[in-house]
Amino acid sequence: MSPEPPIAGIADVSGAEAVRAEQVAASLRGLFQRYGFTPVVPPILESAVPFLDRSGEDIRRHMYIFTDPSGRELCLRPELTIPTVALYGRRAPDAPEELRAYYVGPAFRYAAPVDGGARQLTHAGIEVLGAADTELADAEVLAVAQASLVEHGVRPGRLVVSDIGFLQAAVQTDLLSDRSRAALARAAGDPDDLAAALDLAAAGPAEPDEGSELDELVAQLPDSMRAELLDRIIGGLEPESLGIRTAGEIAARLVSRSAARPVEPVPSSVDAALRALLAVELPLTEGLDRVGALADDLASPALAALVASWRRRVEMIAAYGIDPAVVTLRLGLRRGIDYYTSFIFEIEDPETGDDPLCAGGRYDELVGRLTGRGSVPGVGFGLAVEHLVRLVPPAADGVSTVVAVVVGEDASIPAVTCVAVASALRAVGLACRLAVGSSPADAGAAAGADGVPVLVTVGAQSSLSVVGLRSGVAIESVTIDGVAEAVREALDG
Amino acid sequence: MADGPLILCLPSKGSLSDGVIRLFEQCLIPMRRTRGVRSYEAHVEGFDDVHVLLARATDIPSMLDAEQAHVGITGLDLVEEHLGEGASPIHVVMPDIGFGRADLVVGVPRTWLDVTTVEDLVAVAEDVRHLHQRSIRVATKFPNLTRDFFRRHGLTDYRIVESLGATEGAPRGGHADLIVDLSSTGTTLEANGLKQISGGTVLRSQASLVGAGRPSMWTPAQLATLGRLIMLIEASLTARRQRVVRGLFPAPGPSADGRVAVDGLCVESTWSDAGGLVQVLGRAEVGRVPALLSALLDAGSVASSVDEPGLLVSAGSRALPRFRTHLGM
Repeated sequence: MSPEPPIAGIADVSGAEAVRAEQVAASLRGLFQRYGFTPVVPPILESAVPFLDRSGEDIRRHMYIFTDPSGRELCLRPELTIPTVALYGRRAPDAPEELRAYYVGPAFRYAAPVDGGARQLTHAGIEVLGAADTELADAEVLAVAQASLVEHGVRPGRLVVSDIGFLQAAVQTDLLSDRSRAALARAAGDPDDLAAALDLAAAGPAEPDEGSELDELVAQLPDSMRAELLDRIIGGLEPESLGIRTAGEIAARLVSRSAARPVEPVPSSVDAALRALLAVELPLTEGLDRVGALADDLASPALAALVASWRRRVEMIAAYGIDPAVVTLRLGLRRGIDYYTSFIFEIEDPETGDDPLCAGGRYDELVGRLTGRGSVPGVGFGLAVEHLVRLVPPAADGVSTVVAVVVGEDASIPAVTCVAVASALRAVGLACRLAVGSSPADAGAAAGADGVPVLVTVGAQSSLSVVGLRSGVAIESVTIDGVAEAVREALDG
Repeated sequence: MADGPLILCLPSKGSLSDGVIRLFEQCLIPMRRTRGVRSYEAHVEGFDDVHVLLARATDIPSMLDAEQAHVGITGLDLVEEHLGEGASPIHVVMPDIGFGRADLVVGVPRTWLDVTTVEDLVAVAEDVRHLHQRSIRVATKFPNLTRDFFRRHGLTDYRIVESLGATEGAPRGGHADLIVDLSSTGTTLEANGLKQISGGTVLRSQASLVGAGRPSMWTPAQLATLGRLIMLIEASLTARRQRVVRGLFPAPGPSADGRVAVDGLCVESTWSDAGGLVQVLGRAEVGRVPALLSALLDAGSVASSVDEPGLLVSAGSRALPRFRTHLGM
């Protein structure tokens, strides 16, 4: 039987690559712990529902969903923010309000756009849940994200920030009619959608089709009776063929769809200001000044207030040692994730500039929606360890978890003697492996190739020779009792 | 399977079968069912090196996979659905052989007044998830094509309900919320309280000629036989699109050497009779014929006529060369 073809995007990791991945994961854990985060291990297998409900198109489209034998819809978790938030909600009722959690574990996405289409990636990240000082927490998350690259010798790409609220606040202006305001507010959750809505409004009424004619009709109904009337009309039609939906739902969506079409043109001053806002891509402080000026143009107090709250966030970011001048404010930043409510950011890949290396943001409504615990603020970031490992400069002297290789001088040396030597090293925490049956020359060459720094050769009468392969130190006639000390000496040179 | 006759697998019944019978009659190679016990075999007149197997249209792609036949005629929808399973070596030789038209379309309840486009459907799938905590259910006999279509439109939250019988009845029966099914006129959809939506055509389908794609299946003689069959089918398709037009001109005709075209009319032959008339003969696309007749008159023809041809053969067919490239033969 021929072997099954490999699954695209699922990679075997072994050898030096696996060692590096483990080292990077371990040092990320150390970093997160230094900032006072504690580990969480949510399940890999999750109910599909929260992800389908809350995550957003970029994730939904790439989920592994299946039905288990009991008929329940499950998925392989596509990310770890929602599982961490769900875990927060499942804790004992008397658990403290604030949870500072970190995770390192696998996540699965079908043909994920990042990382060369990898379908299984190790996500590492932090979530700050229930911390009242939101600007401080945002700055801290940004700082940890930055440190997770810098501490591994990776030069961070551009650090880009934005706020979901900027565009939403901007359209809350009295310069727009109620109808246009409602239509643009619907699109303001996503910069691309808002740009499209402005284009649509500027283009004037489209070629009428069945949908637009219906929207036009619905829009002409008096506000107070729109939904009620439609509900009655639809309810009177073939109730057996509504499928899962109700007449009320269809009526409600007809009303909202008709309202989402900006039938009247947006005033040119507002159109220009909104487009200028979408185009903002400036160093943080300058960018905020620009947004503040546009808030005046738009006569939007909500936007002005948001800019003011950002001034404090900038202070906190600076306090964490990140120069605001190297942070880019880009209002066109979109994350494709529905649960973010305000602050969002990504750190670009320094080499490709496209797929972000780290990404995160604030999701103040997610906790309440998933756990029913009321309003709990939350912010976090995540990265793919495999993506980071690719950028980490290789260690100069190779990577090995093994400190010493133990080999018999020749075939006459009994294996039990070599085992005794290895046990003596392991007893004091020195990692070693046996090369029984190999010659010292072969074992030394293999050890050197693997980056193992010390070779211990067992001779007759348990007389040992210890050689530092990198340090060049050679110690002869060592006894079993002295082997650990000799290995340390050979290691240090 | 080397060195035997070319085995051709054709639909045994239904509208595709009727279409094949008409096509072969038009190609002047009528098909006759072998009488007697082995009634699922047939013979094509003028093609002694062809052996015909009759099978259900749905089974034909897998029969080609299983190397039970060299070529088959069946619906493109069935072929594409089969290819959607992956790893099938079959190759579409001629995607459209002129009959069996039907579109694979999304049908939603007519009561869903707010759904007129596929984008609406994507939004409604999200609504249903939020309001009812479940996926929308889609009844279809074409799960692979449906999955591919929805994936391209970013619709992931749905469940496929495999339908064996009358798919279009599934929403009314409460088994599904919408369907993806074949529709040639839309009347069946309408009769079941369903409607099509804009952008909701999954595939335009018709009868197609499909070949078994493993080179080991084929001998040069069998490929040559397939080439003759392709030539006739293409000739019948061309004959439907084009008309033979002739014009009579006083000698020496529209030009001295008789090779000049009138308004693009390709001159195929000329002759002169004793009375000093020259005939210019050629073919033109159906839509161009009226203008061409005026042009002939303006160019001085004394009479012209239009004939509907049975078969029109042209050199330069790409279907067989492409298939040969696929096979590497």
